[in-house]
Amino acid sequence: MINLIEDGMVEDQADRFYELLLLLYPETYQNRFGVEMMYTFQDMRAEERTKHGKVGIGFWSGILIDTLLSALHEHEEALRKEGMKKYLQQTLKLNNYNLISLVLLLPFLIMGCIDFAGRILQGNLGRYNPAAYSVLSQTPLYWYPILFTWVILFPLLAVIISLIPLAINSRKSSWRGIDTLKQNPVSVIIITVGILLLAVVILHDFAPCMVNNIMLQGFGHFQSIISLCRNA
Amino acid sequence: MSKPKAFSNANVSLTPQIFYILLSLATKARHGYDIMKQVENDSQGNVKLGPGTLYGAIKRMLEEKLIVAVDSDETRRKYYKLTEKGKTIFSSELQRYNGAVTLARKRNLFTDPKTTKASLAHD
Repeated sequence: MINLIEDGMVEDQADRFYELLLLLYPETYQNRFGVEMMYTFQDMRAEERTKHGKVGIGFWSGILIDTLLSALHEHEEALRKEGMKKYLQQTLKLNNYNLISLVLLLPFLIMGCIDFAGRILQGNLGRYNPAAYSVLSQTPLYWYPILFTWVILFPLLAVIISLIPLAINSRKSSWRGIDTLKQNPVSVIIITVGILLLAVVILHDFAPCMVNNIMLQGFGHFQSIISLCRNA
Repeated sequence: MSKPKAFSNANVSLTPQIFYILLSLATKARHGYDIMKQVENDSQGNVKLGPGTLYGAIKRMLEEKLIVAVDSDETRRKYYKLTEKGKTIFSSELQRYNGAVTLARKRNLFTDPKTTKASLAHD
């Protein structure tokens, strides 16, 4: 596996961030073109600094879009060449911990996607779509006593379970930062997604209305349970 | 499931990115960033490649044996140059363009872009 830091190629924070972006590509592609892509990125960054004095948002958005689209394309090609089973095991390095974590994240992701799609269809992201909401409210996940389970407990468990293979790797060979993370890219993605979902719940003022409703109704439910307990 | 090879037939059209990469390598071997700048220059800014798009295209061109990597003595960068197959495909693509341009001239299809823009705005 290539190590750009040991090779002395990573010079500053921008390079470090780009090195993380390179993790989005399949491993064989990273090994083959990672070093060259880093050289090219460094040349682009140097030119941008010479021209504009800094590396701005325009530069980074171009790099992000280019990386995401081309990484998706490379994954699609790897999937086509290797077949689903080999792709999941070898390219994504999916293990049992990751599978359990993914299952735990699914309820939130599915409900979030339905909510988000509803908003896009009605053309107003700031307001929930009543039709989508009525569909969501009929699912068992909207049963108040379990709202907190899939909104908070499941993502939290998913993050913890995905940390296990990383912890095992760092025990086998000492923690080597990005290199250890590289060995379990799916774990890294799950942990990131899990933390983002938890952040959506915690900062629910900025979150989709679906989460707002869940939180409000969930809190209402808990308050009524507490008041019932007090009265009893 | 296997995808048909894109460049195995000299009569297959090339994508703009592949065409401009072949054009940039037609004169000399170049490394990634050099190719990127040359493509931008040659296309007058119409084709811009990021590192991801560039190396994706390079990967496919290497697989199709249109180009080969050559190590540089001075730097650790890899340089790329056209193979005989790459030259043949590029040459037939140029001939195709040349044929189309000759035909367009004969039929007087070339118009001044400024006049076209003005007439479109007028409509």
